[in-house]
Amino acid sequence: MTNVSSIALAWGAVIAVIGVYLWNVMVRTRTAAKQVPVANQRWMSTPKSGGVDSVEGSDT
Amino acid sequence: MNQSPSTGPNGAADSSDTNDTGDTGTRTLGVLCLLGFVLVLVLAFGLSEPDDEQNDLVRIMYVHVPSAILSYTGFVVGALASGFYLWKKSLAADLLAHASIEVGVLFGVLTIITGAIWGQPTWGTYWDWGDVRLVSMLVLVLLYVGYLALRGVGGDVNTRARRSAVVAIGSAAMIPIVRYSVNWWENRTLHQQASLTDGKLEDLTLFTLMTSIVVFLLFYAWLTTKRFRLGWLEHQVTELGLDEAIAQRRAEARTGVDAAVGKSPHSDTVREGREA
Repeated sequence: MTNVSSIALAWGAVIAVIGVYLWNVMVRTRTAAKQVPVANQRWMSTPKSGGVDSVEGSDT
Repeated sequence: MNQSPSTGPNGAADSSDTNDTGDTGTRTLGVLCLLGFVLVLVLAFGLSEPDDEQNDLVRIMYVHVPSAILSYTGFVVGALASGFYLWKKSLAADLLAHASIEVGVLFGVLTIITGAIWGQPTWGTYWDWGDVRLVSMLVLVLLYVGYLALRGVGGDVNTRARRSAVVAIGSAAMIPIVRYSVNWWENRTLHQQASLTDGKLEDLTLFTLMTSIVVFLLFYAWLTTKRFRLGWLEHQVTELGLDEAIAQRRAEARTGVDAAVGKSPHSDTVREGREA
C-alpha cells in the first residue's frame, strides 16, 4: 500500500466512523424527542417527572 | 407564569415541534468544531511538510494522536463521573459516564484502526500480538466495550448505574498501563515513546498536531453533550412510559392549537391531562 492510500484510508476511516456514529445519535435523538414531553427534554431546567402541569410551568 | 411550549426559556427545546436537543451553546460549539476541522485539513494537507522520518505518513498522526487522547479523556471523565455517581447517586453523573465512555470507545477504535494503517508501511505489519502498547490499548477498549454491554443488561436504573460505575472505575486502572507501557516495556513494543514533548517535531508539524488535538477535544465536548442529552431523552421515555408520554405530547400539541385559535391553553388541556 502506498503512503497516499494509507493516508486516505486512515482519514476516510475516521470520517466514516464518526459520521455513522453521529447519524445514529441524531436519529435516536429525534425518535426519542418525539416521545418525550417538551418540558422533560432538558435535564437542567426542568422537573424530572413530567405532566401537563410541568409543561405549562416549565420556567418556574 | 403561563407560557406556551413554543415560547419557553430553553430555545429550540421549547418548541412543540422540536425533535432534537440543540441550543445556542451546542450549536456554537458545533460550528467551532466544523471550522476547526477545516483548519486542521488545511494545515495537515496544505501547509505542513512531510516529516524527516515518517515522510507523508505523519499526516496520519494528525488523527491518530488526537483520537488516542480523546479516548483517554472519555474513559477518565467516565470514571470520574462514575465515582461521582457512587458518591451522590446523581442520575446525570451516570448518564455523563455512559456518554463519555461511549465516545471514548469510538475514538479508541479509531486509534487502533489508524495506528494499524500507519503501522503497515512503517513497521511492515498492521498488528503485532507481542506489542505491549497495541495489545494493552485493545484490552482497554474491550474493557469499556464490556461496560457498554453491561449497561444493556436488565435491572432497575440504580442497580445498572451502580454496577456500571464499578466497572468504569475499575477499568480506568488500565489507562496508566497503556500510557506508560512504551516506557515500562520498551523492548517489547514497536511503538515509539511520547513524541509530543521530546522536541523532535518541527514547528508546523507540532502546531498542526496541537491544533488537531484542541479541535478534537472541542468535538469530544460537543459529541458527549449530544450523547448525554440522548441518554436523558431515552431515560425519560423509559421513566414516563410510552403511552403516557404520547398522551402528554398530544396535550402539548393541542395546547398550541388552542393558543393559535385564541382559546385558553389552560382549561381543557390541563383537565384532560390530569384525567389521563
